[in-house]
Amino acid sequence: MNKYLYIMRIKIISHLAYDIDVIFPLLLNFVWIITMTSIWKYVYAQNPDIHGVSLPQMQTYAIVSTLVGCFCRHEVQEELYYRMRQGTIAIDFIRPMNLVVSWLFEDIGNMVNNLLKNFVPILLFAVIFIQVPLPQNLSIIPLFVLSVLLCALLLWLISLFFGLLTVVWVDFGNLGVIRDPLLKIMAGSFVPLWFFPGWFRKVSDWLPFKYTYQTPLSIYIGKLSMTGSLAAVGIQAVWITVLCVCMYLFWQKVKKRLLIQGG
Amino acid sequence: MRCAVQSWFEYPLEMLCWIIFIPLYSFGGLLLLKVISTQFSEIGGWTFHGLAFFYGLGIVTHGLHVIFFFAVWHTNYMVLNGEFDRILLYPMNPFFMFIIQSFNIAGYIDITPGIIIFTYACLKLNLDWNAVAILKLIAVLIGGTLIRTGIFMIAGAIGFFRDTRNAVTNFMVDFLAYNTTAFPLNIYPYGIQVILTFLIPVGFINTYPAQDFMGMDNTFSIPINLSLCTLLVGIAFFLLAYGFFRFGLKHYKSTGS
Amino acid sequence: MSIIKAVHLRKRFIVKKKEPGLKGALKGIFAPKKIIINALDDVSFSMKKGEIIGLIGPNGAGKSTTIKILTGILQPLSGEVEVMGLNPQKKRAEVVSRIGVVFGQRSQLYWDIRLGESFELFRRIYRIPDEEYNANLELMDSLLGIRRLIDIPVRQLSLGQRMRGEIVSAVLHSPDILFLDEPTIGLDIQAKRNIRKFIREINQKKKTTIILTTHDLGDVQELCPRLVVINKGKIIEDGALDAIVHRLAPERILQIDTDKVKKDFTYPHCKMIKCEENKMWISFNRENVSASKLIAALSAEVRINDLQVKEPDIEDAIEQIYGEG
Ligand SMILES: Nc1ncnc2c1ncn2[C@@H]1O[C@H](COP(=O)(O)OP(=O)(O)O)[C@@H](O)[C@H]1O
Ligand SMILES: [Mg+2]
Repeated sequence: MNKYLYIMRIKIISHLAYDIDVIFPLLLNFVWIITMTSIWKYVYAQNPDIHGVSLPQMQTYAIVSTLVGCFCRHEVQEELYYRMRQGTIAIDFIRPMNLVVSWLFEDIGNMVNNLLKNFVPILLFAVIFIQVPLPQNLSIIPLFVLSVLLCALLLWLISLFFGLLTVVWVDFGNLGVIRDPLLKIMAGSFVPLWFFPGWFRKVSDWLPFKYTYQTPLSIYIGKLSMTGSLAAVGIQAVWITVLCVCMYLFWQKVKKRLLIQGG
Repeated sequence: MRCAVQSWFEYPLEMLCWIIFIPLYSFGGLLLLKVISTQFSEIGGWTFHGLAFFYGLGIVTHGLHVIFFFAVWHTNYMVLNGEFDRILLYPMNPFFMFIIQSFNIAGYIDITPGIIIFTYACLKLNLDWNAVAILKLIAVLIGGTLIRTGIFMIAGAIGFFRDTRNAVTNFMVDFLAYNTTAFPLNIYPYGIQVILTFLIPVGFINTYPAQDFMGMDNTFSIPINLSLCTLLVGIAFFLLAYGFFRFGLKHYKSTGS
Repeated sequence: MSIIKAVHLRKRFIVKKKEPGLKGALKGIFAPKKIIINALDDVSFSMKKGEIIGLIGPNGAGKSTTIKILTGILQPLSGEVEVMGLNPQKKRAEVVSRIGVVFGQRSQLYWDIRLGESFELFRRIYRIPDEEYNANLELMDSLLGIRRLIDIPVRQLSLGQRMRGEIVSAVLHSPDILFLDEPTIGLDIQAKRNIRKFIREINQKKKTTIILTTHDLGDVQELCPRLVVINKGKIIEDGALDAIVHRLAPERILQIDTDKVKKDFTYPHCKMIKCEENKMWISFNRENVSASKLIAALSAEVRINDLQVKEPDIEDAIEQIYGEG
């Protein structure tokens, strides 16, 4: 256990190595909050209530989405792509540890790091320039926190999936180009899915992406009822179980392949 | 030039992947504009087709920038791992060398969806394409490409002064692609529009030219023709950025090994 | 009892051939041409505890592949491997916690942060007890002066300094076997000397078994009593360095400075190989010709101003092996 915690620590330190690398990602979060809330203000100038959601709720959605997004920034996919290209991935096997667990802890390190660096500044920025992002009902906070943690794990599993796919299909290059647009649109991190046409929503119901950002955010702004929230968190848990099993099997295959083909 | 093309063919499947998914980003952005504008009629006087014109124009200049100046995106990495040494060894103006190296056929993948969206918007808008309009368009394309390149040159040159793993460049990539050329600037509060016009002149890439073509008013009621402005601003900003890049180059320190 | 045993190892890589041009690229997508590389073709050898061997061979010979199989990174196509009595593929965790590996061409340190952080991580990964860790670090400081480097970010280290870091990180847990794949690549004489000293000391003090691959025959000459030469996936020589050199290049060369050369000088079993204005070179085999008798015979015919006997050249010997293989 100790070794995995140290891996986490190393990640945290390496991300603090360059000051510019701390400031600009933070700045980008500020920019996103401004962009999203500006758009919603424009849109809501004409109708005060859209799909049962008010402007303050929508602004809260945007702010909390940025907070959740700064927290859930994982690198496992890029890291695997990079190590594959460098041919160093096979060499990682000479350490007596579980590689997947070590990648998980690297990303937990990233998350802790992002939380420390970004959470408070972003919240302060939002409170000063936009509004205090209060939840609809304080009693849902524990459920919201649980849902965010499940969201983080789900996002990580999705990244791991694309990372392992990168190892198998290294000729296709960095598969982040597939993951990113999928997440950008289907996760509802920017424009919630209730704005999209019906067929699009039907498709997204059967994919895991919606259960990343949209679920905790909807719970937070009170878009979902209590039973609806519980059901959504349940579906998150189901997706995590399914993906965990799939990733375990996938990893066994990838490991075997690396052992035969080398890096 | 040939060199860039060749290394591209070395990873044909990667190219295939890009050909499929980079346009997805572009059309995804258009889908968002469509979703927003059809649900709420118009955004600040923009029709959906106006938005498509604006959005397509932005992607075309992005594509041109990627085709001709892609290397500036990698300045930080090259500085950080000492690869920039190689550039300085050529008996030529290092910046010129840098640019020559960056000719990037992959940019055609970026530019194609832009051309499709732009053409679609033009057909729907029934614009009058007389000689003046065409000249204006060319001026706007050149100006917009130069503004983008200038922004990335400044972002990259920061790496000469401070160690960074491309943070400023990555910031600018997102900032340009999603925050400032994907939505017209008049959605922003006044103060931010001032910054995006006079400090980082992204407004001239597509917001103001599109307003000019559409015959709309702009926030600042700038007296000169806006399309001509783009060209002038582009040249001035590029020269400024070039000066900064040269200045930064004097601070270049190689790596340990 | 041998600590490493490799029996009839074979390893094959299948690579897709890339053809030039657009047509080649399309062909690569739809009908890729595959070529089979026999990286290892029946490799067998074994090592005793505490031995140092030099594994040498030209680029692409299969040295790194051999090391990767012995360390459990790669699965052999066929053949058997035993490292400390265990199969490194099946008992990977057990084997890797008792070996140390350095790949000279691939860094295993964290690039952006101070060297010490990497050490601290390895200390936890291998669960190294405090005393052992400190003692090892102390020893490494005396051999490689590592403490001075510990607070510097890895990216700011010179190649020689970084390689010292790589090596220390591989021995902190007192491995029984140390695999060094081109640890001296690109280093200057001083850095090489440091590393050679380290290898010798750790072998003597801790009885560490060492496999060293290198292109620098100086390394081999100084460190390795035993040499394994591999080429095109086959072991072509395995034995004591002296014996190999002697067998392959038995000829010594006598160089004579004289006022007037005698072009038609002959002596049984000797050969005049070159003759200049006032210098002559004669090659002879020390098995059947004694140098002193040859010189005596020569001085009877010409006036010798100066003379020199050149030992067979290890470089020449190796070159000859590569040529044959
Ligand atoms: N992962 C791999 N995939 C395909 N071919 C490989 C791989 N690793 C090594 N090879 C090939 O196997 C042969 C032996 O390589 P290697 O063991 O690295 O040689 P060296 O003696 O230089 O260390 C070479 O022809 C090399 O191209
Ligand atoms: Mg090798």
